[in-house]
Amino acid sequence: MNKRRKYIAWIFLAPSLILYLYFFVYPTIEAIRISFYKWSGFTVNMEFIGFKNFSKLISDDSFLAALKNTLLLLVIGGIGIFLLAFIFALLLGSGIKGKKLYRAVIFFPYIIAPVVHSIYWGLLVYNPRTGILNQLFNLLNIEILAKISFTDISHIFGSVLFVVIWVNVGFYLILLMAGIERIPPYLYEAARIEGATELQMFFKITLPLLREVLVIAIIFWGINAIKMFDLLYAFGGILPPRSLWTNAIYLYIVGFGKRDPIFQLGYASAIGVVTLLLVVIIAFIIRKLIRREIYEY
Amino acid sequence: MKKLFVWLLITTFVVSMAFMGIGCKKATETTTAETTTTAEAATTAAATETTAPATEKATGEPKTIVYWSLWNEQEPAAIVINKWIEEYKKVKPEITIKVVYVGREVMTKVMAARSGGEIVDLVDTENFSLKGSLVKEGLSLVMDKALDAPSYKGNSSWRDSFLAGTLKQYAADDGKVSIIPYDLITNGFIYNKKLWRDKGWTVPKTWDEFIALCETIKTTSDIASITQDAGVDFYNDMWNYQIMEKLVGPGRILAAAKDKTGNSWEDPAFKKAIEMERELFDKGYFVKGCDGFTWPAGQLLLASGEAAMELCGSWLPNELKSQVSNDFEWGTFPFPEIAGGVGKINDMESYLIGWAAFNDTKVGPEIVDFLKFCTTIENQNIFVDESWNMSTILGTKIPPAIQGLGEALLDSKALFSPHDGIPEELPDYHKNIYLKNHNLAFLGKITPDGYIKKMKEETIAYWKSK
Repeated sequence: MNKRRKYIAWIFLAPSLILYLYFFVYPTIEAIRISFYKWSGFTVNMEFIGFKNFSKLISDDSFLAALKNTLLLLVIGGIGIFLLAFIFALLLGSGIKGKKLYRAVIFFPYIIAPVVHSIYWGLLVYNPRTGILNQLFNLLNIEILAKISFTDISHIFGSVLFVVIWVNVGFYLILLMAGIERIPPYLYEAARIEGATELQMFFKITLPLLREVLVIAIIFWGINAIKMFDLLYAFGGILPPRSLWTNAIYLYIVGFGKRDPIFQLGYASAIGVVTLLLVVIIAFIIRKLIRREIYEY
Repeated sequence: MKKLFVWLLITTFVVSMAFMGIGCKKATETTTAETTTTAEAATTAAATETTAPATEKATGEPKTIVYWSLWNEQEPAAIVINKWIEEYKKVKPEITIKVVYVGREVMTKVMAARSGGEIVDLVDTENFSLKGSLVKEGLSLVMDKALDAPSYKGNSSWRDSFLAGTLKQYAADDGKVSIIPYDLITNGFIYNKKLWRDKGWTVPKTWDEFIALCETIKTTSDIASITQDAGVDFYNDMWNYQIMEKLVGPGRILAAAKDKTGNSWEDPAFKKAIEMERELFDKGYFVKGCDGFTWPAGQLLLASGEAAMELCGSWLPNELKSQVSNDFEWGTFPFPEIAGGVGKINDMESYLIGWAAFNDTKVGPEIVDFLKFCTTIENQNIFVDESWNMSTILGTKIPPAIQGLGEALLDSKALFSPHDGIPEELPDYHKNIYLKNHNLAFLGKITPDGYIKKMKEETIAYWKSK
């Protein structure tokens, strides 16, 4: 009977499995195959060049700069998001009034389209002449900050990174809060009776019991950060400035030619393959760093 | 049993993939075979077909041209194309034109569509993009025979309808013409005539006059002399290739890019061009903070009257027409001559948008006929009126908003390509080396000497990697 049920399960799984293999696994294999070719995408003629696309990546300054931005986004963005998400989660979990309202307000930026963010922040907040930020610094007489052009080529990445954190913190806050709310309150009550401080309770109870949720959240952020495209791309207006290029943007520019008819699909596929490897490595590292321990409560 | 089932699933998947692969291969083989025959047939037929009287109603079978355009549905150019199609339908009811307004990344989408087996016969986009893709890959329908045949009205050859140089500008290396240009964009300064009249400012003809004018604007008014969307690297490069063209003539940047030794970058003109650009920053002529503008923050200052002028493409008045006040009077003038330089004031940029057909199209003659119809003076004048852009067709109007640039363009003896023709010849070099380093130099992040050094080193490395 049990065996029969298993077969039935496989039969039900088969359609989605075939679709998954066809729409996700097959294109991935195809991308890996194409990465060994020189190909424009317009013709059927593909020239096999072995690992040349990959060796070219090593000496491609644009790719290395894009990779650096991707990693900065992943690490600095991740630290910012999770730090803020934890702070907000603890504040909101401390019995503050209007918890749902605050949570909704913090989550709100996440549901807004990236293009709207780019217009709002690019034209209204960061604009060096009329932007709210420079005007605020002028008003406060903080000349050193008022002089900064937040969207020039030296500062734009940092400015957009701030927006990325601001946009995403709400989503990860919801994830962490869901995890925190599952922790039984009696553990905190017992700790309080034992004289534990809030900080001790955070490190000894909250963090260990949140491990599973945290691993998923961090891996999720890792994947999102590495393939992030829309917000950064939209921020550039007509064309994303080089300082904002990530792997995903560079792949798009090289493969599909943004204004410039580059059309190097083989090379773009190599960038895609490297990005895929990056995701796998990061997921592996995160799982290794935050080792799985089972807590029963 | 379980293992068997899993293997069965995997086998099903692999077999289905294999079938798809064979299917694709067969499809591509068939397409390639057809390409050769239909390309020849289409070209031959095109030449024959276009000799027929233009007004004669076709009696052939119903045919459909699938046309993908770079315009967006709401844009003036798209509205005009719809009008042409509507009018053409009256003349040739048996021909259906299925137009898809794809937007600026049309070539990317065409690439994906054709890879998926979708038919696209005709495409319009920037000529440098067409040349860098369809023409370069040998996929475009050669139009020379059709061009030598009479135009739609039949009073001269179709080729003679075009402004001199616009057909040859994006011809293939062997001289064959595949791209039929219709939208003629140029580049120069855009300003508000009324504001300038009120302030007593006059159009400069030389670089010295231009600098003097900038100084006057800066010292006698509270508006910026020049606005610039400096967050866009290819907007910043307009200064460089215009200065270079006026200093040493067209083609010098492209030649340096092609020089595998990198030595051409030591030409003093390259350094001088950067120094001239930086002079504008150092003297405070560019609007303060422009290095941090995200497009369209810069051009909006021209519209609001906070800046006196902008160096930009002739599309700008059309782009800003809904942003300006009612008393705004559009004025334009070409890039001034530079003392000691070889370029004349009427050496103008020719930035073209045109059509190209795929050489595997089965409707070659119909495409040629439709394009001839679109390029009559009457139809092109509709385009000029609606889009505020110029047409490549001789005898068409100059849009009043860009009168100054239009007159210079028609008077031009030397047309040159945007960015000196690098995008279509060496697109990856253009993006990753030239624009990158020029932008750093333009914004003062590297010195003019540093720029030359970087260009030389990276040019050598680029060619070495090839």
